[in-house]
Amino acid sequence: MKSVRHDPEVQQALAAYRLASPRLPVAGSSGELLGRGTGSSLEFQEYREYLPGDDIRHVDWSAYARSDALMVRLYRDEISPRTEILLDASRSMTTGGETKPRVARQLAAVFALLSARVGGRPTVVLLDDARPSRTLTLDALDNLSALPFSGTATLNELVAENVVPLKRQAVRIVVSDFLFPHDPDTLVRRLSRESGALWLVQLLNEWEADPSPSEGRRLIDVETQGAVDLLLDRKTVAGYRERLARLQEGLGRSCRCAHGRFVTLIADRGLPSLCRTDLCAAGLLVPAA
Amino acid sequence: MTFANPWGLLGLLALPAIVILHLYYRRFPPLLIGGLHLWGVQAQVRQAGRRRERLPITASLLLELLAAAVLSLVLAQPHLAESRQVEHLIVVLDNSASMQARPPGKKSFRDAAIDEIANRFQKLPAGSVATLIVTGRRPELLAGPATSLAKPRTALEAWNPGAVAHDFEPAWDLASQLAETSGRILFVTNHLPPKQSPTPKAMEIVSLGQPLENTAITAARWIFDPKTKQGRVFLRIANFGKKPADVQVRGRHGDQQLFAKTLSLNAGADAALETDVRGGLGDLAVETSSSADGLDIDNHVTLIEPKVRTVTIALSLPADHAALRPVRRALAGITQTQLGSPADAQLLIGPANAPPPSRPGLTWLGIGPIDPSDAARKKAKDIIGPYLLEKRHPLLDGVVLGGVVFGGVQPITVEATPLVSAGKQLLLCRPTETRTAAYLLNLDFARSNLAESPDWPILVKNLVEICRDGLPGLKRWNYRLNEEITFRPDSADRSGGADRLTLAFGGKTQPLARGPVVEIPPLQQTGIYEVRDGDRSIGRFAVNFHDPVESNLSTLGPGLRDAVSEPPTLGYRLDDPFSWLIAAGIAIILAAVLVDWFVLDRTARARRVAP
Repeated sequence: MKSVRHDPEVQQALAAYRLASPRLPVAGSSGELLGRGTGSSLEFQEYREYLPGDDIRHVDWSAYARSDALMVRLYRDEISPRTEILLDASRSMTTGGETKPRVARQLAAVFALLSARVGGRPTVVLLDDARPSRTLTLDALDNLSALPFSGTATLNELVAENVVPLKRQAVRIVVSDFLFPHDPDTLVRRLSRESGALWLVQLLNEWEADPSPSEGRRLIDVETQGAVDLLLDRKTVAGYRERLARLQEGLGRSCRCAHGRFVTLIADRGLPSLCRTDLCAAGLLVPAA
Repeated sequence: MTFANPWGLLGLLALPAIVILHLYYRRFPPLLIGGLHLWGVQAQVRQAGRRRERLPITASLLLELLAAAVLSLVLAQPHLAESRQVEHLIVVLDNSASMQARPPGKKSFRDAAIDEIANRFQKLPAGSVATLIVTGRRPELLAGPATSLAKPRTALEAWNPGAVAHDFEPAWDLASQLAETSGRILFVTNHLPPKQSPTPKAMEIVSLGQPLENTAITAARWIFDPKTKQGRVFLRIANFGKKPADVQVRGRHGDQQLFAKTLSLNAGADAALETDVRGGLGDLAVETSSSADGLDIDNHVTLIEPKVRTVTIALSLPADHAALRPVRRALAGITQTQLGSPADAQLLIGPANAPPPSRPGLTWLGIGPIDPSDAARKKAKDIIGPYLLEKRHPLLDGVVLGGVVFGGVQPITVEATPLVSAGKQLLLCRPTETRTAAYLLNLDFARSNLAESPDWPILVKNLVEICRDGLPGLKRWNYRLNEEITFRPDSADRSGGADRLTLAFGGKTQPLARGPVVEIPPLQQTGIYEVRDGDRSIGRFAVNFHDPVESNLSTLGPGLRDAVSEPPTLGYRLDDPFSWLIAAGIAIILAAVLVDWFVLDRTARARRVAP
């Protein structure tokens, strides 16, 4: 099977884009990104009164001369953010043929590799039926190619069961279709808990995003095996679109409340198009200088 | 609405079948999706067996139901015009020649009849049917039976009445049979039949005639004398009008006028015209004209020149036979005869004691005494009557035997058919034990006064004419309409028999049944006919219209006689007016099936495209 790392489209995206910085500095080891806390970088952040134990090298003696009070210079911390890419490996990611899982793998790889480029120590968490969830490091990224997307547990269930190893202060990028019953506020709150930043990437195929009216079909949920015979007439399709829009609106609103970002991608458009338009527009990627 | 084929409604059973198929045998193709909850329905877990579901009203279902329903209706042949009354009008047309009569400045009775029928047709409800019958000795269907009105209209255009006087009852009977209990009969004529006529009760009679002046040729004859090689034409011209009339009579052969005379005839009078014509003309045409003439067909006569049909007679009577002299005297007055040898003769007259030769085509007359011996002659009887005559035999045509004494009558021992007898004694008989047409006259002229009676030359003349009738070829050359015509083909031709015997007239030919005596059915059209044996002409003869009854137009008159009983209206209707309905139904079926096919095809394509 072809290595996702060497996928031409992935390579093209790596060359053309870089990962956008989260708006809020997050914690991490010394690195190229500024952390949210104080640190040892040269960028001044603020003053505060000296407290016992503070590094006396940071006492601002000039200020002490002017005000007769010991003030300590606080500098921004420089960190290398931890990046967690939560990849939905359930069966729903296989609907519509090979495009959707292929793009899902590509997205996970792109996010991981771009994160690694800035020292982000990325990990890809595979959200399938494994308990606890399996994690791929950068070295094992090629294992994505063999990912079967056979899970039946939903992201909501896994997060609620705390089987997903979430690290504190990590930048969490969730790639999923979010087509499972859930409450967006609850889900986003759980995902954003103790996270440095939260990006939700909803990956749908063309038909899931915009189904067209047709004759009767038997709709089978690939995860629950629930089935229903439906006439996909205009009215039914309109109802679906309305409910999908409501879902997307809820996820977006919850993300904004958690200072996260939400974007919906149509897998059929291909990775290059998604990077160039949707991901850049959503502020997840920025063109490389 | 009624249905011509109610069984076709069984096709409506297809409707619930289609619904069931759509209800329980829907084939919704599976589609694997994520997020079933977003479709707003509760997921179902399939259980064993089928459960009733709401019937999906799809375009395919509607089209299939429409096609099945319309197909059933087409098969059932609905009739939407049930309430419309239709009729069967049977028109009996007077086919007499007088229907061609034309009042001065007006339409002929024929044309008036056509107009009357056209008016009747217009008053009939749409979809009605009609039958046209023309009267005659054998009534014929001019159109129908029970055909749409277009065909009778066309047939009337070609109708050409020209029959001689005849009874109408056969045509009325035929109309009654066709009408059964629901048809209306209309008899169109030019004079009302007598009230005591057995007219059908349901028949309405319309007479369109009116009295007309008319002159006519009521008789025409052409004889030929082979001795003088001259012909003589006899004509009888009659004035059937109520006013005197001057009639111009002209005879011509081709473009050559042979004679022309003018006759002044009083009302109801007739006159004979006799004129000589030279021999060898072959045919001649005679026509008359007058200032007041209502009918044209009786003003023309075409005559064919008679042929000479000589009978060869052989006399084998001994010179001392008492009958020899009376026979010779009788034969002398008969034309177109010649004496010949017994081998060539068609008629052999000899003594009764000599048996006749057995030869087909030979006529033999044996004259007594049967036994010439003195003893037998002494025992012979003399009979003065009364006589019993077989009047139907042509030999005795005109023979009365009043005051005739049959002397020297002897017993007859051979098998014979009596023609004249007295008691059990045969006086003139026809022996049956020979192929020859033999006649035996049982008398002795030495003891009988038959030779002095006027019956003798008549008897001999009849005998000669019987022989003449046996000659091959036409017996006569000029006939009347509807007259029976017979002739004998040449015996030499009979042996051949390979060629068709035909009758040619007006560019058309009709086959004739070949036999010893050929009978030509009664002819209905005037003109010159020709009998052909293959390509060879056997002879020509003329048929002319001579009918004083039809020529007498003074008895015609208008009138109307309603039907005694009114027949019920028919519940009978042609399907033609609704053929468009069937065509429209078939078109709907085809359209529905076609659109259904497109719908299903589009669905199939959508399945291939959709995930």
